[in-house]
Parts: sequence; C-alpha cells; structure tokens
Amino acid sequence: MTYLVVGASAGVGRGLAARFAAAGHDLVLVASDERDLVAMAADLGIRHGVRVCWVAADVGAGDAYLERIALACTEMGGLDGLLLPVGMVADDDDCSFDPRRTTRLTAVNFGAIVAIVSRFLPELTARPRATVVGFGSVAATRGRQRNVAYSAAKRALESFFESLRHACVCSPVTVQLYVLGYVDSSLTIGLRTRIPMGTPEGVGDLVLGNIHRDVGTVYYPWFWRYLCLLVRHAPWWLFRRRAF
Amino acid sequence: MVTFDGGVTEAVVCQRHDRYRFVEADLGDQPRIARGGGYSYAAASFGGGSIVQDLRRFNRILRFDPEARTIEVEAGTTLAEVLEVTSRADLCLPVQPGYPAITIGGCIAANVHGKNPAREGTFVDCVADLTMFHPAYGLIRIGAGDSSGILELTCGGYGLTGVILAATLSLRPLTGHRVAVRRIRVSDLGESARLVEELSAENTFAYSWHDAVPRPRTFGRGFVFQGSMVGGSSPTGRVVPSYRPLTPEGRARLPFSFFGSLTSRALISAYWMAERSRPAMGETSVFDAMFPFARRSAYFRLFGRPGLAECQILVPSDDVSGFLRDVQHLLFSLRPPSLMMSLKAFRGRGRLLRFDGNGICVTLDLQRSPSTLDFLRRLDQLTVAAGGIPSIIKDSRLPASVVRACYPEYEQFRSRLQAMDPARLFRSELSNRLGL
Repeated sequence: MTYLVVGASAGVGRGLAARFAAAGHDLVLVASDERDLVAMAADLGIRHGVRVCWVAADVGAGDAYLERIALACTEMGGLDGLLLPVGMVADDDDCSFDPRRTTRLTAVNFGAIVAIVSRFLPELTARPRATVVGFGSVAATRGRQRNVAYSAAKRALESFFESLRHACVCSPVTVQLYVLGYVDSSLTIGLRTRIPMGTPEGVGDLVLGNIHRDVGTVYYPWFWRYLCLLVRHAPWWLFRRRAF
Repeated sequence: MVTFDGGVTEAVVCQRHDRYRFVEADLGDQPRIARGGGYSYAAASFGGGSIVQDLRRFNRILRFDPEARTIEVEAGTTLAEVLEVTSRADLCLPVQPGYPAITIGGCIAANVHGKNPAREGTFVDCVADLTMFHPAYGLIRIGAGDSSGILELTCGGYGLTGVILAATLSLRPLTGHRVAVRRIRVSDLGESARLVEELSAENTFAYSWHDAVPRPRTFGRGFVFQGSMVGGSSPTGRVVPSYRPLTPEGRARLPFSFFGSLTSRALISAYWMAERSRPAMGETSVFDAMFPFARRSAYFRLFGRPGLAECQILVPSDDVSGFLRDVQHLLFSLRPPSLMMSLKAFRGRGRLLRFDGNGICVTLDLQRSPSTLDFLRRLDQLTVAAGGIPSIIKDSRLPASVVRACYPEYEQFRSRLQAMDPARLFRSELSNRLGL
C-alpha cells in the first residue's frame, strides 16, 4: 500500500514514515526542505526496501504543490491513505494578532490539510479501502493567550475531521483524528513538565495499528483524553488563573 | 548534562537537530558544540558555556553500496544501525568501539578504536569523506584528497572543527555471524602483553582482562581473549538483537557506588572464577563480541552517582613491562579503589591529538573517589616518563600539561585549529580544560 505523509521530515511525520516503511508500505513524502527529503527517502529505502518518492513544497504558500503531489502519487500507482501530521507553531503566536502570521499559521495547520484532503478524497473513495489521518493538538482544547492562531486552526481541524468522518460513513474511507499531547521532538526539548511525553515512534505504532479501524478521535498519550476533559469543563474562575 | 564517568556535570542549553535548516540557523558568535550519544568519558560534547547541538536524530542512512563496500550515513547514526544494514550484505565497519549506541559522528570526532587496532587501525582509517557545517565555511564535503587539512583535523578533532553531518565509511567483509572465542588463562601482566601483541596479528580480536584490585595474591590474574569470526547465523535471524541503551544519566541512577573494598574484591573474584570454570573455547554472537557491554550494562550502573574513572594509556611496546610494574607499585602504595585492567595491541601512527601509535594500550577502571584522583595524578607522571599517551576522551580530568607533554603535535593541532576557526566557535569543557 502507498501512503502520503505531509510534514514528513520531522517529529511525528518522521515517526510515521519510519513505522509505515518498516511495515512494508511505499511512501510519498512531502516537506519543505528538499535536503531532508532526499536523506529520508534514501534512508527508508535502504533500511526497509520500500519505494519512497518525495515532493518539496511549502504547503502554506498557495496550492500549486497539489498537482506535483498528485503526479508523484500517480507514479507510485495511486494512494491508499493520507497521513497529515503537517503543522507549525510560532513563538509569537499570542494576542498581538499579526495578520500575516495568523494567515500563515491557519494556512499550514488547517487550510493546507483541507486542500490536500479535498484534492485526494475522490481518488481514495475509488480504492477498495483507504484511510485519512489527521493530527489535532491538546492545545485546541480551550483557547488561551498562547498559541492563539495555532489552537484555533487545530480546533477547526477537529470540526473538519468530524464532518469528514460523517461524510465518509458509506464510503471505503476511514477517517481518524489523533489528538496529540506532548511528544518528544525538537519543539519539546528542554520542556520541564511532570506529564509524561509520547514519542514520534509511539504515534507511528498507534496509527499503524489502527490504520483501517474506525477509531474516530484518539488521544495520544491516552491520559490526555481525561486531562482535556478536565480542562474543557474547568469553571472560568479557575481556568483564568492558570498561566499555561 | 553529565559525562559517562560522572566526573563532569553542567547545566546546558540544548538544541535537537533533525533538519538541515536547524543546523544552519544563525547563532551569532555564541559558542556551540555537537553531541552524539553522550558516551564520552570526558566532557567533549558540552560545557564551556556552549549551546549543545544534539544530533541523534540526524541518523539517516544516505547511501549503501555493497559492491564498493561503502556506506554513507548521517552523524547521529549509531554503530548498531550501521551493523543492522551492512550485515545483510555480510559487511561491517572494521573499527567498532565497545557500545552499539555510540554515534558515527562521535567515532570520528574522538577517532575511536575497536577490538583490534593493531590489525584494523583506528576510525580515521575507514573514513572516506565527510560532510560538515561551519558557519564560516557553510556546508562542505571533504574527501581523502582534501588539501585544506580539515579532514585530518576533524578526525580526532573532538568536534572542535564544526558539526560533522555525514560521512562515507569503508566496510570490510563480515565473514560470519558468530565469533569463536578462545580464552587463555594468564597470571602475569607482562606475559599477557606479549600474548596480546602476538595474537592480534592473526585474529579478529585479542585483548586481556585482569584483576586489578590491589591485593598481592590476586593482582594481575586474568585471561587473554582471542576471537575469530566463524560461519553460522544468529538464531533470531537478526544480527542486532534488542537491547536497552544505557545513557550517562541512566548509568548514574544508583545514588551510591556498589564498589566498596569488600564488594569489589567479591565481584572481581566472582567474575574470574566464573570465567575460569567455563570451557576454554566458546562461541558468541557477532553483536555480543563487538559490544560486550550492550547487554551487560550492570557493571557501569553499579558505579552509581559517584561515578567511575577509566584511564587508557598507550605505551610503547619496549617500555610496557616496566610501565606495568610501576603501575602495580603505585597501586599497591596508594591503594586506590581499582577494579580491572585490560590490555590491547596498537599499530598505527599518532597524529595531532589522535590516540594512536605503536604499543600496548593499558586500560584501568577505578571507582571515582579522592584517592582515585590522587592516583591518577601520579599515574600521569608515570605516563609522561614512559613516553606513553593518555586517551583524551576516556579521562574527564586529564590536565592540559599532561596532554602537552605526551602529544608531540599538541601545538600543531592548536595552531591549525586557530587558523581554521579564528573565532573558535566550537568549544566544550574538554577544549577549555586542554587550552585548545
């Protein structure tokens, strides 16, 4: 089977690509830096003997890349699934609402994913079975003064995947959303937290194990489901005091 | 961060690189240093106020050519990962230091040696080319014909010339997936040195293990291990079995050292008796032969938070008997908490600050304590007098004066490094301590 991994060169994307390649799946990788993609494609091919092709694209800048991805997927014989761990955060994503930054954050974290799903869904519904996997964030549980545009985009993504799952009930396409807590990556290095972190490889194992199951929304690590429930229902007088 | 021996601890700012654009990020004139697995006993990958650039996720295999017997890997690739891939084509790295989670970048930066440096040389001998980054030079690829001297300076340059990103390495045939090990009982260090030197030429490896607890009756007893690859495959079909990598922090988890005077004697004697009772000929997997401590990490854990001290000294063959006698005398007079000693033969040419040359490498493990540090200071004097060279990467307290006295090309290394990088952007506790 062949899977498209968007945001493949780092963190969760790398973990997914490694696990899916180890399971013998061919891959189409998308990330912004060609050098990382060349290295990843070579590595996965050598280690696991799978076919890997790549498309270097900035998914936050227009949608011209979609046809390049489509061409690469055709060369690989069509797609059996979309893995969409693409995303970006910004240190200054606060309530200053810089329009360019907000537009870019929402474009990468939401708009691009909607565009990719919209472009490839017709093709996926024609396959015997296929899977679309999105990745939300626990940051979207409740709006805060930090990661403002990022959280808003991830909340929109949750809504989109809910609709998508509903729309695909009678199709061979399985739709899954993984809501990620802290995952050990270059973004979380040095982060002091008492909450245990997951790993990109752990995400990869979980997604691979569930790939054709109609699991809906899954939290990773699992305990975030309950933490998010608490945060979501915390009364405002308590929530406003927390500086997180 | 802490050194593997527990001797140096420092709070650091750390970046974890997994993409090229992170490596190229502008850090201004802030000193920085690359870090691999963190298995160095000296603080070569942190300290000195430097930002630590963790490259363990820069671990992709870029090219593998079984016909040409070469592999190109990123610097954070571990020895186990390389073995996993190359063993499928019955190839392996000729030089394999003793722990599988050590990274290729670390092997190059420290110019490590393997089980048989007399036959296989040191790591520099299998480096065909390097890709590295230095803000002043950008991304550069340097090969064997490099006239700038950067390749020579980088292999055994302790990460001070820039960030090693990738390397092409030469491989040699892996003639079997099992290793036949012959154990020869010895009672004397001098006899052992002669045997090790003799056996190294013809075998995959030859090294010795000795009881170094300072007790007249038992000191020096031990075994010479001689290994040769034989046919056969691993029972699981995998050359690299699962193992749990030991980290410097994990090694120091025990809050105290298990090794007191009684427990050291008991443990070392128990090991000696266990080895003595086993058949003289045995067979083991390639993985266990190459990485004997990978699945027996308890030895290092037992040193606990106080840590261990390991010194490795390369002594010219002609002087080794006298040197071993002097070490024995010093051990008996100062009675530091020493545990074991090992000998290995070397054949090579020591250049710059590389631990290489002709002679016998004497390794001594001790529990870290004030008397140990006093012993090591006196041992430095013996090393200088014997014309030996101490391993810079294995000793977290080695003073600059000893390195200057023992390495004839110390000044040359220092001046060439200064010429290559006048701003001296890449620094560590090691480089500061050694005045580099």
